[in-house]
Amino acid sequence: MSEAILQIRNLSKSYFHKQPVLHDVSLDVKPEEILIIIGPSGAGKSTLMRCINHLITPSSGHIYFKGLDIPSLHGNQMRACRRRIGMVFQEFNLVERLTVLENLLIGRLGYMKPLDAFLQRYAAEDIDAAEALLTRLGLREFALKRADNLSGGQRQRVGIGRALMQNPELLLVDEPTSSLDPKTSVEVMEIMAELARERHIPVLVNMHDVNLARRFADRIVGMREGRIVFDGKKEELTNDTLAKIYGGDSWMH
Amino acid sequence: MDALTRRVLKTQEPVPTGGMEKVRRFFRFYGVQILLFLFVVYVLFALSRLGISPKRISEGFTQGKVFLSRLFPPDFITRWDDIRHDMLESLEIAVVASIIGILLSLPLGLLGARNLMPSVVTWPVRLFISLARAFNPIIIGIIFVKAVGFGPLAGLLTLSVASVGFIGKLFIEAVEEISMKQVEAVRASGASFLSVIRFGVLPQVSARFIGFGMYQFDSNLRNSTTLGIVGAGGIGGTLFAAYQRFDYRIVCAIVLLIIGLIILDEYVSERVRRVFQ
Ligand SMILES: Nc1ncnc2c1ncn2[C@@H]1O[C@H](COP(=O)(O)OP(=O)(O)OP(=O)(O)O)[C@@H](O)[C@H]1O
Ligand SMILES: [Mg+2]
Repeated sequence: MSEAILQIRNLSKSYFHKQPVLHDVSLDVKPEEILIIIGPSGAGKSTLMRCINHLITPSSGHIYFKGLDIPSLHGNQMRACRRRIGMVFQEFNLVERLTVLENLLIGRLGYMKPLDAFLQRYAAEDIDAAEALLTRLGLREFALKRADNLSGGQRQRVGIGRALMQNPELLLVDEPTSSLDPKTSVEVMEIMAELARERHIPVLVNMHDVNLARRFADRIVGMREGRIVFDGKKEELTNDTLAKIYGGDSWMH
Repeated sequence: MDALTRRVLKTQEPVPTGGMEKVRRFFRFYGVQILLFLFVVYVLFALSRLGISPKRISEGFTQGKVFLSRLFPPDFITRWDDIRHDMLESLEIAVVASIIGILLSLPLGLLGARNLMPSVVTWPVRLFISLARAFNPIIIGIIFVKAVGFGPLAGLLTLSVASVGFIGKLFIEAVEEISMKQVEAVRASGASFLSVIRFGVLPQVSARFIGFGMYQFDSNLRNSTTLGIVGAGGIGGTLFAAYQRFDYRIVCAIVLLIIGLIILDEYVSERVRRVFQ
């Protein structure tokens, strides 16, 4: 098996003293795989993700990303690393008052000179790339609409487009479908998986929907109370393991 | 009887008739009425101390009628050059002070916001803005006239300080109400701090900032017509001088011009606000 893109080693995080949210988590993300983390609310899935792109700093442990130990990075080094990791959010987190195209181009800010970024002097090839991506996402005619005019599914596509504009080497996707209806959820997951596969980007997804996870995952990880309690192929995810992840089995029937 | 019923009934039992308990009950029932009564007594007392009686009021009206008759017709001509110069000066003071105030308030609004900055930064900024807001512009004007001498510079500094005091505070509040989700998304893209402000924060507050800036300009325009009274430039000086010379027809001309200016300003700022909604 090939070398992992991301190696998480003994990661712990407490927001408050002696109340760890992550306990000694170790996990590898391999090239081009779609790895889906499932687990109950409060299990620490989002916390894990936010540690990976250093939106928060873990209490201890290491996250190796292509030779960099992310928690030890600061300032410019940290931002240069962040732009190589795209993130998609549950509530889309688009800049509402900017256009769809401008939202996609936010993905390029990390690569631009400060003054160019401030004046929105985007490179021509960035604009071309954004337009091509919008076409792929089925949003071509919305390019100049303000982001707050879109539906949920359309917004999440913009969120995916923004992350892909970073030319990321890893995608972090935090509950991408929790605010969407079932049909739109599948469509959004499909386009995301398709674009990630084409670009050979490994994807780490958090989600609650076990069926959706089964449908799109190469590998599934179960988290409970800050620990990994399952890590295997989707075929290995039995009702017993689900009961272990979520606690009890009365919710299944 | 269960516990709840007992507790409900207990409140209806006769209360112990101790002295203190009676006083307490009296205040619980009549507290509001007593406060209201004391307030009315204070207002009457204040009126009598100010010498305001029905007789004084009717005297005032008689004098007012004479005064009104001496206001008309307004005289725009005798001192037109002074009036024109000072009206324009008022307008200039208001425009420039608003721009200085807005330019200073922009960074201060960001530095004072507790969701973006650590408290070592926010509290000095907030203290500065509170101080700028603490005094009426006339009082700040008197200080600046003493500090930099008579004339429009004092008025300009006065209204710049007042603008920072007001819009600085409003800017901070607007920034503190933004959605941090949008900010986090821009941060997650690897953008620099400046870009996070530019793309995560400013789009969320720019329309409100423009609205606040326009309100401050309205306010500065009104204040710039009074600052001349303390010698800080603008039409107020000419107005006050005419008043002291009993040139009431000139006073009337100036007052009409000020009214016209304010109406024009209301119209323009309404249009501007609508464009940026
Ligand atoms: N900024 C924070 N400050 C303090 N505690 C936090 C913070 N963020 C999360 N927590 C706590 O950490 C725990 C794990 O939260 P996290 O958001 O990582 O869970 P999750 O698995 O993503 O849950 P969900 O599925 O509901 O999104 C929760 O108990 C939560 O209350
Ligand atoms: Mg979460």
